Amino acid sequence: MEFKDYYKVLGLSEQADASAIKAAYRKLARKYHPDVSKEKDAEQHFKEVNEAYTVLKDGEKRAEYDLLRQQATHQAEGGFRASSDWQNASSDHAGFGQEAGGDFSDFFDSIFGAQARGSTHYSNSRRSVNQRGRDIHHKIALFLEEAFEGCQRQLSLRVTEPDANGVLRPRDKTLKVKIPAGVMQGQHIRLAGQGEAGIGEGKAGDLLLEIEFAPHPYFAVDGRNILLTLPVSCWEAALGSSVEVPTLSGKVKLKVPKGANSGNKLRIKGKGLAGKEGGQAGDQIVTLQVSLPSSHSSEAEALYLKLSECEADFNPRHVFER
Amino acid sequence: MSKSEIVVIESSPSEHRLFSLEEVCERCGAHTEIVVEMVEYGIVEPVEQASASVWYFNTQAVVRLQRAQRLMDELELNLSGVALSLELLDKIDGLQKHIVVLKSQLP
Repeated sequence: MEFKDYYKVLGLSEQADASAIKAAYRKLARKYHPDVSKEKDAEQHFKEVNEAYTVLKDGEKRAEYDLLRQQATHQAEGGFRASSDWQNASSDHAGFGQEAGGDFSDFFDSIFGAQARGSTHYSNSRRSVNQRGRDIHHKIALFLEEAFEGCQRQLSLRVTEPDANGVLRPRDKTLKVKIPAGVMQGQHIRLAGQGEAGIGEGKAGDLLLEIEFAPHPYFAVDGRNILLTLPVSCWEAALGSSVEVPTLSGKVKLKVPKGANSGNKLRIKGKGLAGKEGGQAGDQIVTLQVSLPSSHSSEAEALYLKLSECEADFNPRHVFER
Repeated sequence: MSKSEIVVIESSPSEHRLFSLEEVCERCGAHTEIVVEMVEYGIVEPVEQASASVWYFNTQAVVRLQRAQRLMDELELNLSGVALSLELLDKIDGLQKHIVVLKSQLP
């Protein structure tokens, strides 16, 4: 087991006083709070910060931890192991509450015992013996194709549930979930009864799955509409043409009107994401982008020269002239 | 730790289930007054019903209330702080989505 340096987690020196600890904690909690943070691994960081704060804000726990930390620095490299003495010394810690949900490391448990992390949610259980299990939040990333067609996905999660004695224990759970067609980015899907087990006769919580879309190489999403930038050659745009266009349900022929230009938008009806419960589906919105070859043959150059003579009146920079 | 189990959920989740104020409070571990205040601060809105006397909330509202509750508990925010943070976070989300859309249109 790795020794956790709680001072380092909070960015503090070991002389830090209570107010410095609190200030550091508050700053990092804001930075890494999973509901706010855009940082990578925010949740993991937030847990570590909470764990560190739980120990360092508590005089007794801090003293005990400081002692271990001194011993650990004297130990040779090769991992930290809590001796049985430490566990004995801390056996009467059971019952400490802590602010944020109890999901602490094995390192914490080895020193303070698993009971010490009992979250407020369960430590208040004298209020009522039957309590509904907590809801679990989980994100699931779908490819656009999967969101379009609906899909079945397998997900593994670890839930922390109270066992028969009310002690929190982790449990691995694998679910196969059917995602209906027409889900949207940011939408939550509720799977009733798939959250944490309840206490006593309390019902199990729900699993709330937040839908995210994985970035697509050429499609973008705006609500139910699918956006696509379609490159066309200047002669296709000038003369009009029929172009093959990818959609989420396969290729379709799209008519590019004569005299089309970069930035023109064409709408393919009903090729967006499905509507809710048979509601109206979105569209695919195609933005044209005139594209030129990177080099021209001398023959093509001659044609361009001719074109420049025919279109001598055209001034693409007319907006600059007033 | 017990062995891993596989549960297959066959039915597609119902989106139409609505939650009463009591159910929402139980799910958020919050007192009724707090949830009422959250509605008053515009943090969530109950679903519009024919009779406005009884409040019902949809799944998205429950998720938002839980988020608000966590922000209050874990960051020690008050209600206007929560309301403001959620509003700003929504705005950031919207802007980020917009950036993605705009980027996809670039050559």
